[in-house]
Amino acid sequence: MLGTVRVARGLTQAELAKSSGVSQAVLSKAESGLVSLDEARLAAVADVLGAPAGLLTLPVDEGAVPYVFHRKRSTLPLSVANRLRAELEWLHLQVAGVVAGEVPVGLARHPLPPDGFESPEEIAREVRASLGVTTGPVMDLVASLEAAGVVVIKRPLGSERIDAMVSWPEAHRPVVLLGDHIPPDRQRFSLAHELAHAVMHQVPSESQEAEADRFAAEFLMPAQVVRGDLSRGPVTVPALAQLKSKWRVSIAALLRRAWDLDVISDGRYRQLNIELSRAGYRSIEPVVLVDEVPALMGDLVSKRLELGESVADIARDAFLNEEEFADLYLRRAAA
Amino acid sequence: MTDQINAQPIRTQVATPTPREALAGASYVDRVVGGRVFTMAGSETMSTAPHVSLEHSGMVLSGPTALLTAAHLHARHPGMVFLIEPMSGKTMASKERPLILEMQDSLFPPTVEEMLQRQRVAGAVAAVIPAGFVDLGDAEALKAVLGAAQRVERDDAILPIFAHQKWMGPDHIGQLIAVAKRSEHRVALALGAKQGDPLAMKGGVEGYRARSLLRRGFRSAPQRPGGRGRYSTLLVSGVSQFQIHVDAVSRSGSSSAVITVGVTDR
Repeated sequence: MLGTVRVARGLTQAELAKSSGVSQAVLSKAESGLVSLDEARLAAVADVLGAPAGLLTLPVDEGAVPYVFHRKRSTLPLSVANRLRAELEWLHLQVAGVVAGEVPVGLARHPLPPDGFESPEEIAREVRASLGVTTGPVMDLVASLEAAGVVVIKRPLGSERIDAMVSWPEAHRPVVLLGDHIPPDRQRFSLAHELAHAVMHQVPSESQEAEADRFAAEFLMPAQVVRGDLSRGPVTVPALAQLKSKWRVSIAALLRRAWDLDVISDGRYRQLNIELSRAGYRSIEPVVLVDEVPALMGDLVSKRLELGESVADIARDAFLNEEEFADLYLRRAAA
Repeated sequence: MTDQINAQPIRTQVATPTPREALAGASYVDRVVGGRVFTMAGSETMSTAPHVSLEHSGMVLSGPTALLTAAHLHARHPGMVFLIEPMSGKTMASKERPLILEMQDSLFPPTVEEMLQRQRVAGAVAAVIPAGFVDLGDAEALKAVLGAAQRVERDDAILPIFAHQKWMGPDHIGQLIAVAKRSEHRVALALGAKQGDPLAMKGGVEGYRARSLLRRGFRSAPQRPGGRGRYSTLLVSGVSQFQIHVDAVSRSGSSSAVITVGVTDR
């Protein structure tokens, strides 16, 4: 995991070599598994990376390499994407160490058939049912996912060009890394979008983003119910703002849904989009939703502490230094 | 724009209604409707009929008086190939109610078999299954229509998929093809919209042209032991105010519409 941790820390091999005093050639070989670092070198590298030495000598889990999804993926610098991938890979170890099988995964994979016989909307309806959401809006998406054993971690991602990322390697549980910079309505759609990737996509495809959006739209705004709400009166910006409170999605998402479901014409859709832009609602929308805050990891850590385990014990299980563990899972969770 | 395949009609030898029988090679429905351009003329059916080619064309009768019109048409033009479009496309299909089993002057709901047989008795060359209209994205209803049609055990049946125009869009056409491919019966597509003119919708005209995409999808379907394509497309206009012809879609200003039949994947 040496290379993964280095990338997660945003360091190049040269930078790590300079800071640790270990030559870049040796680091390169160590990352490739060709040589093992002796105790002194390992300690020096671990000190610079702020990670337990035991983590650096773990073999890389090739199956845990996650996908990174973003609406403007091409504008996301590769270095940031790589750093976040590495962070997510490390996060899986942290999650496994903390959760330790406490919460079973109540979510099933449902790949889209290659011939298109099943649609993302159908799978979204199945997933809703499996999460116990029978009809109407999903009230607390984060809580619903956590109840199904999906771990959601919300923290700064170091870039506003990415909202969230997800991975669900074999023999692991789904983990979503969510940026803390996005407003609650966008967060919910991003989360549903990432859920779609986790459930439906194991192999990247050209249509995966559109499919995930369709899943997310149906998951958060099921056609059978939202169509009635959208058709009840003229579709206007104030009417959509009212529905935003109920459905807990952005006005823009509701407008798009109205068009997708053929509730409004092409012309009306264009007109309302222009209205949204003129009002400045593309940047900041009216009607602020209550933020959904992940609680699973914090709750599990608290439970273990109550049972008599020390922070150091749990941090070791999570492959983190004690101070960083406390910062990530105690102080931030409390905040 | 000319669709070379459709521009050269298949010269079928079957120009008159043929009793249902096991035919070698092409299916019965292929033989009787393949390569023909069907005209839907509504209340002007009888006045239009003399101008319809018996060899390369046919007619589609629709509306509540279609069966009555069929009797007149059959009597006046015994060689005319025609189909009777059920009224079912005006009612929304659902998972629970994929077929619309209603018949005028009938005290009790008829069975599917009764509805189909009545079309044939009236002189239609094939029987069009009374499927409901499938709303945009209602995959459950679409599959229920397929499931109900699969239970129709006759080789003269056509499964019409009355579907929202946007099913032909990039998001949904893959599923539409996948469902149609599973049909044991020839599939007819009738596109419509719940509001306004489906051809005025964004991508509306392109949607009709997308039948070429459908053909590609059907061509990739498994082949029957005889080597013939298992699937064909029958494009049916879902509106009565526009003329649909080959790859060109134009307003005709008349109340007639042309149905292009494309049994080409052989």
